[in-house]
Amino acid sequence: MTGTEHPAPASPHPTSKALGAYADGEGESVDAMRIEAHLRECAQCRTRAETLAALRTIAGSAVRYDAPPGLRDDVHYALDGIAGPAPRRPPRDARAAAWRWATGAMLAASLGALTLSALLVAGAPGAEERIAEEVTAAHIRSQLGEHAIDVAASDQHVVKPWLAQRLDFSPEVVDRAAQGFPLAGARVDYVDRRRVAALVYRRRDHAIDVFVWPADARADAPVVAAPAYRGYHRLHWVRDGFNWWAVSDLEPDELGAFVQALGRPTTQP
Amino acid sequence: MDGEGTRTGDRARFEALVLPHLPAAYNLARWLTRNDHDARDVVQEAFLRAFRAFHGFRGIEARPWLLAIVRNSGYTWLRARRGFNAAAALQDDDLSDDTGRADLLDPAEVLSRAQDPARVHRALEAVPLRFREALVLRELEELSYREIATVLAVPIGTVMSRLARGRALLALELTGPNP
Repeated sequence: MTGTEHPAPASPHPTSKALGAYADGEGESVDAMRIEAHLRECAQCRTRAETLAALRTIAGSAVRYDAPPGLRDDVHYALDGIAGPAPRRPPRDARAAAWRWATGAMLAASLGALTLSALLVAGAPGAEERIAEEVTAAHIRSQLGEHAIDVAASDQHVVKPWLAQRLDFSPEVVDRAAQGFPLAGARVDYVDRRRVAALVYRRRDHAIDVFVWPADARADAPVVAAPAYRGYHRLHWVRDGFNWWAVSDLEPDELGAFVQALGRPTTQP
Repeated sequence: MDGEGTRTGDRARFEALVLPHLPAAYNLARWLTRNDHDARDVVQEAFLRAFRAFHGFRGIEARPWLLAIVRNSGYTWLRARRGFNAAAALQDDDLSDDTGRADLLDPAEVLSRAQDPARVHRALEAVPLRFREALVLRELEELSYREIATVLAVPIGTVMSRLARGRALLALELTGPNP
């Protein structure tokens, strides 16, 4: 704790209850705006929020127990006893096997992410790693609070001027609903020591953030994947003089498909 | 519809709405009972209870509804087999506030202790039942506060305090001396 280096904040520290609800995105129950304002001025509570975020990740990495293979059948038989036979039955062994595989893969993924996070903490980050961390943190913050989107619109003709009013550049904004990635809106975020455009797309219940800001280099650069970090995948590239970073907890394949869709020429009338 | 038809219709509806939540039901039962055999019994019992109550089920969210039944079956089991005192286990008013101590922890330290999955597992198992169940529902089953409130039959404010305290206890377990 480094409370002595900082002036006492003007607003009262949020309780652990309130901070936890805020971190869980349960903003209805607490005053998220007040907490965000407080976090901006209080280093001590920012540390509390970080500890909380770490704990949420950790608890989520505990084992989610797999239902034993025979259990679904047992339940069916028990129900047969009181309800008569089922109308029809799907092949449950196959489903159980798929489920075992899926949970095993999830566990392996979360363990891999934890190991990787150790590497990220240990290594001194280069510029790319630093930006990868910043965009990921920005994405996670947006998902925690209520500020994922400042302008909610699927119409690129609404989003683009909204961003142009707030930034000193105007990135290309396209909707990709036809490819299964509808534009949900945008916000202004802060990455690499500057204000950047954050375009928000949806894929089922996942959000994809696309951060865009002017690049130093004018030459285009191909799509590169930064190492996955706790289940978040990051792809970045340079196009038309802009840095592009896509961040999401989607599977890498799907995120790759999204970036491909994004790069396609607009076929709007 | 005659009785037979209604029952068959219920069964089909039950299979479509409730049975898909078997993995969540088992996970909760397993974390409540802390062993596989009892968790299976609890899940079977819960599904039978759920089916009997299902005819009157008009809700839209089957998962919290089912998990509330799993939890009740789990507590019935705990009471029967262990001389377990549910009232004592669930009292909230004896809370000394550990959240203050947990606030002083260094996030990097907490994370570094979490590198060992077995340790995380033991730490969560060591968290007392009333906080552990809230953490399992939130972090593993990803229920909303409102859904957790339904499962635990408590107000949302209580969900918030259980989670805050549960997380503090988990952090203290993790950063405590090696077990």
